[in-house]
Amino acid sequence: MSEAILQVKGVSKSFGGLKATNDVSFDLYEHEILGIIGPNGAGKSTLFNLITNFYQIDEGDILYKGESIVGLTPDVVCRKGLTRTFQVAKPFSGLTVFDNILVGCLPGSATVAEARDKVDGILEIVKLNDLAHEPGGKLTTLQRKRLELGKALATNPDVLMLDEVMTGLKPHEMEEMMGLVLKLKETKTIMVVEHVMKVVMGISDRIIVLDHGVKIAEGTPTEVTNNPKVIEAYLGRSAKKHA
Amino acid sequence: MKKQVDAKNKKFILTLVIISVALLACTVIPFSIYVKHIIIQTVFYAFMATAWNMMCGYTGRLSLGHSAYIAVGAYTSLILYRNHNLTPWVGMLLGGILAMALMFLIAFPCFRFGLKGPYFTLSSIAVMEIVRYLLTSMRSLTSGSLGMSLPYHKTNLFHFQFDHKEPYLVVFLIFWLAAVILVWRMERTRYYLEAIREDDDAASALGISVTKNLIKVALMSAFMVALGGTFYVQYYRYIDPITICGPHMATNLALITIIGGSGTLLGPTIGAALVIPISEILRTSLGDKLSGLHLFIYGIVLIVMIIHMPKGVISIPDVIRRKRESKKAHIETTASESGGASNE
Repeated sequence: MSEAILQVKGVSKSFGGLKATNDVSFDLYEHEILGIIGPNGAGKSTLFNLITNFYQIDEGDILYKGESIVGLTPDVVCRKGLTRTFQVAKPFSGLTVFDNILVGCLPGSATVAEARDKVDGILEIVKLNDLAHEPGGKLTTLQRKRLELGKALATNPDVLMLDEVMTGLKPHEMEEMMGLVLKLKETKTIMVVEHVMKVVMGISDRIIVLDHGVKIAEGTPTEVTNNPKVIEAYLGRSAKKHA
Repeated sequence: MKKQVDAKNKKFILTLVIISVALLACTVIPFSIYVKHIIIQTVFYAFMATAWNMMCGYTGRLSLGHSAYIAVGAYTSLILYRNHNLTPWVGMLLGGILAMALMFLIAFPCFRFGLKGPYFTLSSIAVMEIVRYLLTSMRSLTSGSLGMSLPYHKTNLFHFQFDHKEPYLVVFLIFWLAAVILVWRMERTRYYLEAIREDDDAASALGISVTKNLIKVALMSAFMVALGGTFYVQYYRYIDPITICGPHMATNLALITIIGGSGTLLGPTIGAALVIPISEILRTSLGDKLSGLHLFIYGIVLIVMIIHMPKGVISIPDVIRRKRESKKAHIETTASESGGASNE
């Protein structure tokens, strides 16, 4: 296996009395897709917010390419090559789709003209060419999710952190998105937080499972689904109910 | 896309040239002094609103206390001129620097900790109030609420004083042009600011430094309106705390920008060209008949504008085009529907 590009070491974060993330550690290797699953409120999105420094961690350390990124601001983390999407897509509503992507291209481009040249390629990847001149606020859910992904891609990241880009999509739209993510794996390292099990199982090389802020399992999709702890924490609950 | 951008730039430059030539022509045409006064005021407010818009229009951080920085500029250059005979041309730079320092004091904590919406607006008003009370109470330096007047000199470029109106128009025009071109050239920053206005978290997730960009334009905006403060002194020859550092001046900049189209290059200029002449005409034609009537009408016009044209006058062509397109689409769909019905 190739080198760990991101190392999360014993990270904890509390909100008041609630331990949202409790001593979580894992490594992310280059050109893999790491799935993060867990029941509602398990701390998946919090983990993303901690890695990108939208929240500051209380304890532990986060190393990106061997360097600690704790205490940086989100924009610096992004410029280092770690870009995340948001669970609730955040398009710049007043800007056109083209300009949304352009804004993502700008920090990494020397001139505005150079950034402008990159936009069409990204619009093509996320299939939004036809809507280039529509305002971002007018898009449907699927289009918003695509735009969210497009904006993240515009920053040309090494590590792409996708927070529920599939949730809320219809089955065939999901297939399309999965294909897209798998294709991106060729050039990037990807972390996905996802609710839809079919998706996570289908695309992830490895999976970590969170429950109440604690990492309870890690391994390949098959290993994880056969782990009794996981079945109890996550899959088991509904299984028992049905039984 | 590149062609579109080039065409847009050409159109923009052409607009600037036409406005400049028209204004320069005004210096030759024998208008009455009153008409010239209105034109000069319009250019002055176009410059000021452009400076306000650069920070507040593009970022959505609504400052209703910009008169604080205008006052700092005006008082600095005037006091230095009166007490030390320093030319206002240098005095206004010092005033601008002082205004930037004041802006930094407030912008840094506000933007570092993400103050926005009404909270930012309230703190901007608070700064204005503080500055005004200081100006009123530091009597030995500012002669308090009596105000200060500019020692008269005959036409003299060094003293930035002219007996005729025309030179003021030329000076204001140059600074307005410089301001508009500056904002136009800051294309990258404008995109960043628009992204920050729409969603600052999403902007920082894309690698844009929110705090740095906000502080940068806030400082530039404070510097520019402080220069405007000096212009005000040199043109009106008298300032007192309530006119130069009061809510009227501050809200005027906001209203002009919002009416013209905030967050656009020429919106503030269009706003000034509408608001200043109209309010002047209303004031002179109605002000003596029923006191306050002109403000009443002004208020109604404003309310109607904000309800029916929230994006400002500059958006009118867009609105018309969109209406026409949707009408066309509507006709086409009804036509195809009725066509489909006849087939059945």
